[in-house]
Amino acid sequence: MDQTSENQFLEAYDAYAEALYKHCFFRVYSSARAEELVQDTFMKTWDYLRKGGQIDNLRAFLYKTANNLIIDHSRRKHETSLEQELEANPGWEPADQQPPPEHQTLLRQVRDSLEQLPAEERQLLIWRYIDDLDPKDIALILEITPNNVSVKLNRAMQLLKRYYQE
Amino acid sequence: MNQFQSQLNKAKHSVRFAPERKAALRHKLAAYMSLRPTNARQGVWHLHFNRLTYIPALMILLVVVGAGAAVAAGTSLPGSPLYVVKTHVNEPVRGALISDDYTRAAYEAELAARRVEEANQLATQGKLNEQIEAQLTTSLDNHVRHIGDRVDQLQAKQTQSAEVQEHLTNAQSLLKEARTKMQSRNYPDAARLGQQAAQAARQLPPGAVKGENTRQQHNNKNLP
Repeated sequence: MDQTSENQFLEAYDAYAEALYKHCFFRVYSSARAEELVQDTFMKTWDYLRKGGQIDNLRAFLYKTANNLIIDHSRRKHETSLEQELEANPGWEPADQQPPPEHQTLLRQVRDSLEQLPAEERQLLIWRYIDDLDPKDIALILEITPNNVSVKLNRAMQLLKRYYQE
Repeated sequence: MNQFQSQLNKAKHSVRFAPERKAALRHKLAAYMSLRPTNARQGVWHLHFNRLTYIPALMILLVVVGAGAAVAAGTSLPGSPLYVVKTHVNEPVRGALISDDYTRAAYEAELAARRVEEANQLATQGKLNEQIEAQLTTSLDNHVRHIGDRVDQLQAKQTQSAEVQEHLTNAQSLLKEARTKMQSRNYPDAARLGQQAAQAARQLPPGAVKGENTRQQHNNKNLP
């Protein structure tokens, strides 16, 4: 692997790290864990590339890798109930990275709304509205058709609507 | 619902990756990358280490790897141990890091031209056999097909101007012509056509693709 490839990969880090961090944060509600996930995502992607793996769409590949890592993370946490998890993990540790109180309230409201949804719908809404991915991009990550993504997104919005009406 | 979308939008902007944390992670990633040699390179080592008959080649390889295998791989030809580094590591990694369709199409044209040039060099050295030629032709066909895929993507996104279509179609035609020349064993002409194809794909006018990257980036940045 030559220096140019390493530099180009670091340029990709510069381009996508922030967006991936946001995505991970809204999936795990922990700044420390989100950072770990970003790190693991880029390292795994590098490992894949250096072994000769082919990537057609790097952005989609990064999100897909992050998604797999998040699923592994949630499986490991499976024995802890959601309430315990939220109680133990307010979402913005370490302390020196705490957002202002008004942001904490806002994040808590968003988290509470999203937690009303099943995991799949939740991740779809995060991809669509936090990461600004269009159904075609999401389809690449999930390996389903864009049409299917649109149907699922619509279903997720309906579920959320019901929650807001209650 | 609007309330939720508005909350989500505000929440999105309230979360940010602290610049110092992001920079620290970048350093960590750079260190990780520098400590991880490519498996393709390891594969080459392993293959030769167990075969005493290859000891002279191993010694040469040690020197080459020490000086930077990937750099040497850049000029390697089919049949060379480093050719696998060139085609399975260097080129795919660079390709994967190109995000826009028309730069990628130009890169595919560049790779196609390289395959033709490799055939020409081997033919000049009298080292081109049927197996290598078949391998290079297949690779050439794949790159031409990938150019077509990228043109389709550009069309689907409706970011393609008539000029882009013309340049990329011209590149594809030249590469197909180069393939025909290869089949008739006229490798110098094939190589010349390959170079023309790479240039045709690269020389797009500024603003030819709406919403895509600039000509300067297209011409140079992602191309080796």
